Amino acid sequence: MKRETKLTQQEQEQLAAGQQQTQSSSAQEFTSVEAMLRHDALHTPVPPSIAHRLEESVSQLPPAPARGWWRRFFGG
Amino acid sequence: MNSIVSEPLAERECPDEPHAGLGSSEFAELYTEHSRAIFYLCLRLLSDPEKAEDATHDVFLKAFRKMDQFRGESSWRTWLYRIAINHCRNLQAAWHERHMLTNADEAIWETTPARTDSPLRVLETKELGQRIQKALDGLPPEYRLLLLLVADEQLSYEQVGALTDQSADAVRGKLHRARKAFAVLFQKTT
Repeated sequence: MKRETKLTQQEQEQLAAGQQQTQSSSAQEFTSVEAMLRHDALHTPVPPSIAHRLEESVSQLPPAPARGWWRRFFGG
Repeated sequence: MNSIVSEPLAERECPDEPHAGLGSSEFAELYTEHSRAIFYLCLRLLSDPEKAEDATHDVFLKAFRKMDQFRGESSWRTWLYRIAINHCRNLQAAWHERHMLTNADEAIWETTPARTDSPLRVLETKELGQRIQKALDGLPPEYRLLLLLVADEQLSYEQVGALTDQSADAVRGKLHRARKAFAVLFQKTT
C-alpha cells in the first residue's frame, strides 16, 4: 500500500531531485583504496614554508669539494 | 605516465607553488616535480603535519647533498622515496612510535567480511584525510607503506617491490590483504 503524503506529485519530484543533487555534490565514492589515496594526495597541499626552509638550508651548505682524481679514475 | 600525485611542470609556474624561492635550478625542478608525493608519504607515515614538514625538508636536503651520487639506475621518484622511507623509519624508531598490532587487532579484519569490492563512500571531503589517517594508523607498517606507494601511479609493482625489498608478486599478494584491512578499518572510522 502506498504511503500517504501531504506533498503533491510535483513537490515530491522536486524534493527527490533536490536530495539527489545534495547527495551528489557532497558524497564521494571511490572504487579502490588507491583511488581514495590519490584523491587525498592531490588535495593535500605542500606547505610553502618547506621550500623557504630548504632554500635557507641549501644556501648555508659549504661548497661541494672537488672530486679527487683517484675517485674519478676508479669511480665512486 | 600520467600521475595524479604530481602535476606537469608546465602547470606549476605560479609564485604560490611549493617551489617558490628555490630558484630555477635542477634541484628546484626536482622539488617541484616530487615534493607533493614525498610530503604526502611523510604525512601519512608519520601521522603528524609538523613532523612531515620537517621530514620533507630533511629528505630534500639529503637529496641535494647526494645529487652527484645519483646514477640513474632508478627514477628520481624512486630514489627520493627510498630516502624518505629510510628517514621516516629512523624517526619512528627514535620516537618509539611504532604501532605494534596485537593478534586481536589483526583478527578484526581477518574475521570481518571483505567489502573491498564495494565503493568506499565519504560524505565530507574535509573529513577524508582524517579518516584515511585513522585507518592507515591501524594498519601494520608494511601494509601502510605498500598502499601509499601503490597509489602513486608513477611507480610500477616492480619499483614498489624494490622499495620494500620484495618481489612484485609478493607486493601483489600482500596488496589484497592490505586493501581489505584498510577497507575494514576505514569503515570503522565513520
